[in-house]
Amino acid sequence: MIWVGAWLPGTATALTPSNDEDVEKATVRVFVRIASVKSNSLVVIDRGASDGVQRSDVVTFYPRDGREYRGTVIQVNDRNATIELLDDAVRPSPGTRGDFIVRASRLLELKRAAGEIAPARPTSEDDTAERNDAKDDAETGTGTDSNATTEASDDAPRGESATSDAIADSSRWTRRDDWKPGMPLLAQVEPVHPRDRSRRLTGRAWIAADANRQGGRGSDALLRTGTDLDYDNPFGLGGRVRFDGEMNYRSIDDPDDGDESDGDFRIDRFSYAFGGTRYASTRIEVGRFLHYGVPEFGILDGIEWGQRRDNGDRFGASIGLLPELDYDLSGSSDLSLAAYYYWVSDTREQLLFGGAYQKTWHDGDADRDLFLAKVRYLPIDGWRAQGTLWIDYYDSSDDAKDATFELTQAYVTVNRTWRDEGIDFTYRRIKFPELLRDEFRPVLAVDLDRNRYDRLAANGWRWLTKNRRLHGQVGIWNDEDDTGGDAELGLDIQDLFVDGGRGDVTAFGTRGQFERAIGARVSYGRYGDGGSWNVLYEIVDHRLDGFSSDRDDLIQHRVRGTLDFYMSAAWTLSLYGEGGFWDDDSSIAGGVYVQTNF
Amino acid sequence: MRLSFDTGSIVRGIAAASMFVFVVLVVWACVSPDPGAAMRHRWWSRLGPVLPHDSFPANCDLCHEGDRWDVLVDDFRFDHEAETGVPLAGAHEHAQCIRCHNDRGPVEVFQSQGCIGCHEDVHFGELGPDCTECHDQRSWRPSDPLARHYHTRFPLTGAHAAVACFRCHPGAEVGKFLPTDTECVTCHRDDLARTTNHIGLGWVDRCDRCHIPTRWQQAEVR
Repeated sequence: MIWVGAWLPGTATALTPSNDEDVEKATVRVFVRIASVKSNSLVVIDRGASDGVQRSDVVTFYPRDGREYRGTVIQVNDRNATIELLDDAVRPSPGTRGDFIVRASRLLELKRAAGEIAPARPTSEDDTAERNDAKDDAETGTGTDSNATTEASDDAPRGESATSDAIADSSRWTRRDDWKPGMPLLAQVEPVHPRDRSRRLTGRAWIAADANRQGGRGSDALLRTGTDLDYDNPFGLGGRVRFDGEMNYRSIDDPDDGDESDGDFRIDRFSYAFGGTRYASTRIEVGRFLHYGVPEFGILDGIEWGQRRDNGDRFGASIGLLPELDYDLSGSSDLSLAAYYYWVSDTREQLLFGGAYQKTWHDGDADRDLFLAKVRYLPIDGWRAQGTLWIDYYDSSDDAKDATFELTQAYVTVNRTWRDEGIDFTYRRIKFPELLRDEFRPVLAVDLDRNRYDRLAANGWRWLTKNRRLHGQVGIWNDEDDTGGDAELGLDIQDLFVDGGRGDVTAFGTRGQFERAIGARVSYGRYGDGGSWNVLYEIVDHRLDGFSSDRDDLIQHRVRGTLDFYMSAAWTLSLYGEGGFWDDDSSIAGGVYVQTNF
Repeated sequence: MRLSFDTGSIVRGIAAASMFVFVVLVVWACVSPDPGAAMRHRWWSRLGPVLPHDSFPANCDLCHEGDRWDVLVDDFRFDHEAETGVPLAGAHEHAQCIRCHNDRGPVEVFQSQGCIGCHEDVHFGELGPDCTECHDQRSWRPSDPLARHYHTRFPLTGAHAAVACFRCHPGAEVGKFLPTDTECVTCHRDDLARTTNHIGLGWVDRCDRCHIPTRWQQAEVR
């Protein structure tokens, strides 16, 4: 085997043998990379006729997950070639390394045709050294450019089109003055360090208005406007200042309670964060922000520190005040102290286990002991799983709960996607934690302990044809009193009637806590680069539990229309309107949303 | 942080101030010193080469102009799905490269995690990792939340389907939807207090025994 690295410009003479018989026996390994993916079975590599690639050559690819797959050259251009993969189940990705083996005589012929016949065979000592250098090249992932000095094509005899200009261009792009064997040929890309980047403001501004009217019995209105701003590198440290805030006005008209209106200025985030990049394994954020390491711990007014280890493990801690998670994020009565650790299998994080703990105090009194367990398994192929468990610990000071650990909340999802179908399984559990903190509407103490909700659901889809997708969902739930479930089956048709048209018809049924419902929904819309529109009609028969008279059936109709305009990349305008009709009653709702990003 | 107002004039002032802030930001966006036409896929040279090139084709002039690394060719286009196998849907199509390909590390690690690999989980992990169950990838506005309710134990019937989300989910505006009690009295406590006889008779729960969910005033005795 001869490493093709020996064919580097300037070293091409290295393997020019004096004995033609040796050449005939010798083979050369040519390194390639996938430059682009045309489809799951067709890829383009960055080597072509000028590199010695010919039709029917077999290329072996070595993806990062350790497997191998092969393909056959079906089309050759001067500097690239198209490969048809033998196994169409693999999912190739650009950048994947590969190689193919050719007779050295083929490459020699190229060299001869290009006028680069090497005059002499090197000593065996030099030969070994150069092979090693070339092998180093290959292992650093740079491959080689044995071809860079030729411009052969399928249409012309090999080598006839080689020009000195091509050689000069190639040298300029692939060689550096201080280049030495073993170094990459492609010029090293040296990203600008975050602290050296120019200061820049990006973000978005938006305004939204939503209103509804429930027949003659009242109405809600909500007007909001806000902005998200990111200011990069404000202090020359590579950090970022972020601000998310909004002003809103709400109005509730209730014939029983009277009118109520309120206005708020709310800051969702105002923080400075730095680090946490490939250059800095330590990350610190200070101000008001959503917990970065463990978002389940909520929004914090304080400081969070995080650290990433070389093997990808991460850990960190935070301290600060927790604003109440309501519409104005007010309150500073809750002190939080939290820590976490994530273990990952490797830096690709295909397998992750995490544990976290949060202790809170409400007005100085010990409040919540929350443990969090996380798992994530994301193989390239196969079943993927993610799950989070919220586990509260209660002691004798907690009146409504037994002094023990309790699974307060869970979200676990497992899914698998194939080429034309996919399925998800999801389990969810919700219970009320016993808190001094004001986090949800007050419930009775007995309900605090007793109420729970568990739901297991399966959601699947399958492409029947290129444009028709069948989708369905089945769920079953159980709470402290009842058991119920739901099912849905629909057909989604794309490019219906016109290009970009999309229709969907879905039938569904639900056994809820207070009723059974069965209905159907049909929608049609058109989606394009400049905007989209969609109309929907839904009819549902609600059968209410416990009513034996003719009032137990409620036929409910709903119509909805949406209209979106995408005015350049920066502007979005969305409108919607909705009407509901049941018995002799009705409701309407509508809204507008305008956003610009910059 | 909260400022509460009761008078109409102050509320109108807030609305006017909001509009003013909005207009200022829009004007700022229009006149901000972005390189505009010099940008390609919202990349410009002052961002630097934001991602490693070691897996790129060897011929640099596929993307770069002449020997200028900092200038992309005029007809530069990058078909993200064809080149990487990852389609960019909705707003992602127009997002800056650096929003995903940045200093945090290899983008494939974050991409494999789904939405939360790049987006903050503003629902505190409670609604799962697949944002597209509720959100459109273009405007990020929730799409048809009423339909989602049929996958819960509490389908929205009658007036319930018409009210704003925050009437039942007090934290909806900051992404907090859970836990929410489905007992009638949790939301209708004021209605219960207004009755003249219910509390005295011990009718403080299971309102559905007598009331239909479409009209509070109508009740039937079973």
